Amino acid sequence: MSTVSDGVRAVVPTRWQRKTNGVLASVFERDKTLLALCLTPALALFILIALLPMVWAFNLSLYEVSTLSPIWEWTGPGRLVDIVTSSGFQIAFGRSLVFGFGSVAFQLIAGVGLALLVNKEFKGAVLARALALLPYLVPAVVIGMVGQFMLNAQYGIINLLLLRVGVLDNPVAFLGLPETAMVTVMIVGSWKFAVFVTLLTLARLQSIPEHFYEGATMCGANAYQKFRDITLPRIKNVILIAALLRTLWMFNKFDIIYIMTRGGPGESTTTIPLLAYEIAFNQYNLGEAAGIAALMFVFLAAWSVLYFRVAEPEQEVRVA
Amino acid sequence: MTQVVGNYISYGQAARIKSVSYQIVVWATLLVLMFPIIWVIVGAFSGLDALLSGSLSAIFASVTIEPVRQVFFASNFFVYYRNSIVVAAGVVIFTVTASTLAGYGLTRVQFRGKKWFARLILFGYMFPPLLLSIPMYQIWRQLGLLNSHLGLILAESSVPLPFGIWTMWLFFQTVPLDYEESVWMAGGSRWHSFKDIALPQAAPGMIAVGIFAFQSSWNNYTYPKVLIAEDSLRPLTTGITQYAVQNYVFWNQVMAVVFTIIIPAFLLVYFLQKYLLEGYKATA
Repeated sequence: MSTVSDGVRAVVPTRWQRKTNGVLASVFERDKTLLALCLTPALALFILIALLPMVWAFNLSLYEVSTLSPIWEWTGPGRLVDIVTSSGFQIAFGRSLVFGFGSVAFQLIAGVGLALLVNKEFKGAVLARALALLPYLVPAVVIGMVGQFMLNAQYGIINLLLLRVGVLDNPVAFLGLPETAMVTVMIVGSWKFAVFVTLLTLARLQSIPEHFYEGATMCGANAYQKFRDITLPRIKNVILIAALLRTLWMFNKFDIIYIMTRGGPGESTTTIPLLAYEIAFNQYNLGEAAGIAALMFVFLAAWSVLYFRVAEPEQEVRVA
Repeated sequence: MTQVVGNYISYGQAARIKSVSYQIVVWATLLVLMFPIIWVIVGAFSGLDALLSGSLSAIFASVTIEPVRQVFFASNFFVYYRNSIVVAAGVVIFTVTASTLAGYGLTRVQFRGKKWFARLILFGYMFPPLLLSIPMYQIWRQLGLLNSHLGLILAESSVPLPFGIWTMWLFFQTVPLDYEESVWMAGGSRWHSFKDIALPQAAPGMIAVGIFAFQSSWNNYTYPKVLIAEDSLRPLTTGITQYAVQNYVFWNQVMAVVFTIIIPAFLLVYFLQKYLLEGYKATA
């Protein structure tokens, strides 16, 4: 029996052959301690920075708390019912649905399209991909400010160009009109956020071997057939995951809307996070703001559970 | 001897035309997509009056390095920049360490309810970060973490952590156990197989998580806005809004700052692209 293990020993560096008696080595040996040691840092962080503030906010939503005073006055779960039935919440929730699902639909189409476009190999493909991925690393605040600058009715370059080309007769204040503000914010935001979809999709596309396509070409498949039978099945799951994450993130998106419109004009871009901000920091009602966030959590949690049921985005992953 | 066959072109010519026209489409699309960046660069080197005049010829006639000079030498720019880098580095270290260990543990140890555990991590994304920042403000005050970089690093780690754990969990599933087993057969410990075999193979995943953590910290506006009140501790994202003074925006200075924020972002995606694409291939 020694022959096999001796053979293995011969090709393994000597430093691995030592039976380490260190603390780390013995801790890693048992499954339970290994699991505990590996999960502790992540769990500790998760509890401190996500779970604890969340529980705190849920608790907060049951009290009448002013931003300006430390006194907590019990109001009970009836508060949540009041919020749901208020017209302000309902209208903002409707805007959130438009902004959330609208943005995600737009980002999926643009993001996957861009990934397919820069996937092929050609001279300068690395530069092309770098440029395509760049917007994702540009801060949303910056994009919001640049968007404001470029879309201004008097001196914005978009208006100047559209007037010169003749698409517009008069300058349009894209962010100043209730009809255009929401769509404009969605498009400007998608300039950045669609790239998250591009990144995940492109990573998956790059791992599809070239000879799959060569084989299909030899068999006489056209471009659409290759896309349908080779590409699509392989990127389906990554698109489903990206769609879920982007929906969660877009529904809770605050910075880009706040920077570009402050929720206006009027209240036409006041989605749920902006409504909560308004109530917490301008009306000084922390309890109600936390209640709004708690309701949003319930909605997103319910939607995610449903999504996992229907779409099963990680079904290909080896879970066992 | 060349043979002309009607009006047809050869296979090679057809392929070349196809490839060239494809590249034209790619670069034309990118040119449109990059237009905001081009305009940022133009803005960063123009006079403010020309930018606000609404005339293209005036803008191109007013080339100047004054806004860049103003930003570099007459403001807190370098302080903001350093703060952004310090905080982003902290977030990267916290996130990569925690998610790599968690990913390894989740892949290599079997336990019941693993799938649900992985799904529950995503519940961290269902609460608006803005509303998490309020409890954080109160908790951080108790812990003495307000107005400190450590406090901001911890808060900002909440954004990349769930996705980081998820990514590493999926990535370790593509790292075969066989190599580790051969180390064990040779008498090596599990710690060795983790450190010397699994970890190097997981490097692309770690880099991808690292870049994700970097960008989410580099981009974060909400947490520094709520948790950092002291100007000398502000990162770029909240620092940049200082250039808009009481409804009067120094657009050329803002664009100069934006330009300097975009440069490191571009270098990252250009040079680490290979790892980034390798690292996310396992996702989903």
